[in-house]
Amino acid sequence: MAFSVKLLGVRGTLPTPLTPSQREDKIKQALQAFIASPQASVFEVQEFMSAYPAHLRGGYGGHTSCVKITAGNERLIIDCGTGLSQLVPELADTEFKEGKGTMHILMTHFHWDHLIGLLTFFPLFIKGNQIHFYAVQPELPQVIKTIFQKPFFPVPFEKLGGTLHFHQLKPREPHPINGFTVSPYQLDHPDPCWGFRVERQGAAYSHCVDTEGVRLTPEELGPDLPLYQNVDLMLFDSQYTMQEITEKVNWGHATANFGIDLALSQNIRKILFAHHDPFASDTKIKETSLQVQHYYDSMRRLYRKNNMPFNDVQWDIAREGMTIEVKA
Amino acid sequence: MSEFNSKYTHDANEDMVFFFSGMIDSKAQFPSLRDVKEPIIRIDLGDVKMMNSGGIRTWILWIEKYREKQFSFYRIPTFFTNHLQLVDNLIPKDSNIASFFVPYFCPQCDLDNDLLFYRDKEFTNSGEVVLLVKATCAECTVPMEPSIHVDSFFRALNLRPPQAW
Repeated sequence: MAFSVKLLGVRGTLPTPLTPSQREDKIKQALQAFIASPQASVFEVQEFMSAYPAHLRGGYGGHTSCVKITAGNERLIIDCGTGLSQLVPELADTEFKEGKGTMHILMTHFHWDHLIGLLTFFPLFIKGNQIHFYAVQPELPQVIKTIFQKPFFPVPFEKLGGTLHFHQLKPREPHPINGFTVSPYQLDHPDPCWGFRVERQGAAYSHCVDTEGVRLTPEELGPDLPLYQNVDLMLFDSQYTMQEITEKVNWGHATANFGIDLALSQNIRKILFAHHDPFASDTKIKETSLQVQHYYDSMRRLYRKNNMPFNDVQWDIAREGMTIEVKA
Repeated sequence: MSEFNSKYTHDANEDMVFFFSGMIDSKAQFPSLRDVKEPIIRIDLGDVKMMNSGGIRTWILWIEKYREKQFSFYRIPTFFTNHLQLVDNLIPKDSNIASFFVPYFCPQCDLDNDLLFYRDKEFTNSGEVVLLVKATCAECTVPMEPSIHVDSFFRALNLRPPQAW
């Protein structure tokens, strides 16, 4: 195994916790389905729940963008949405508690949904911890200093216990970071946003959130094409449906169908669609996945009809907590 | 796959018809219709081989610039109708459908063939499909069958499916 990618936050723009009545509805639906099922016995609850559709069971998740990449003891974090809070229990009894931890965090850009998880990330507050931040944007240190100041937050930057290091990445160049090779490429977003190609032992993960996918062909992508070429796993922005994307021009987010086409043309083996619209219910996200299947099937027929080689692509809707092993 | 191409000509009635062909992707350069004086813009899509998601976006952003125009579409390919099932603003709401392809297959040898349905022949002005094209397989001569989900396919074209299919 080269490395694993865990999705800690897959929601876009705004954290989207289920309301109490939405939770109640999910429980009600599950109970009704259980009572109606042939295995309605208390001994079969686990079996029933395993077969119950994921979007009805736990949904897709409400935490905003955060991804953890690990290989053995080496770890990278991409973006600090509220999903970063999911990492806190895991780190609670580690060297970070004693001020002896080192963390490496890549930042795509600085919209709130990619930053706000830092406010409760305890390693920042404990003296001795070394936190390394990486971004292409030169304003990285200023942004982090800005969020840790009154009246936005009670603890000012100067009082953070941990030592923060800021590294500016050169665009489109490989950087060795904690056992991985990280190359930033520009995404299509209203404020500059950089995706990352992360490689290790010949396996490649491509992080493409947030992007509108304005550029899709090799000619249009130009120097940013390598972000998509021969990738084992890509996380791609799919905030909108194909219908919505034409109504939300310059909003900075894409549709899953763009990801399918990139995968078919650039030999991407697996895609997960993320950055779900905060106003999309779990049912709507599931319906969108059926539309993606319709599009994928339609493209498969078209490729074959036009005698074009069609390499099957594995795709799925990203769910919070998913872990994917990335191998070459 | 050949790149997108557009040309226009005049048909037997002296009506101007745009012929689109090749691949519609995000690079497709559609013609400007601003100065077209004809009351109806006629577009023949029969030679378009593929339209991907980038092409869908480019197409919609183009055609929505001409909301005030009346469109008539000829030889709509089956993939275009499939896309219409996902994106209902792919063609303006009050467009005229002059003809469209329906995919058929041979249940014996799996041979595919797209058959053309015409307004006033297989479907009416009031939007009802009245006649099913009958075809036999060129290879094994058994009757071919349409390979569509009848209801959603015709409804995407704003047509009522036939009562008995």
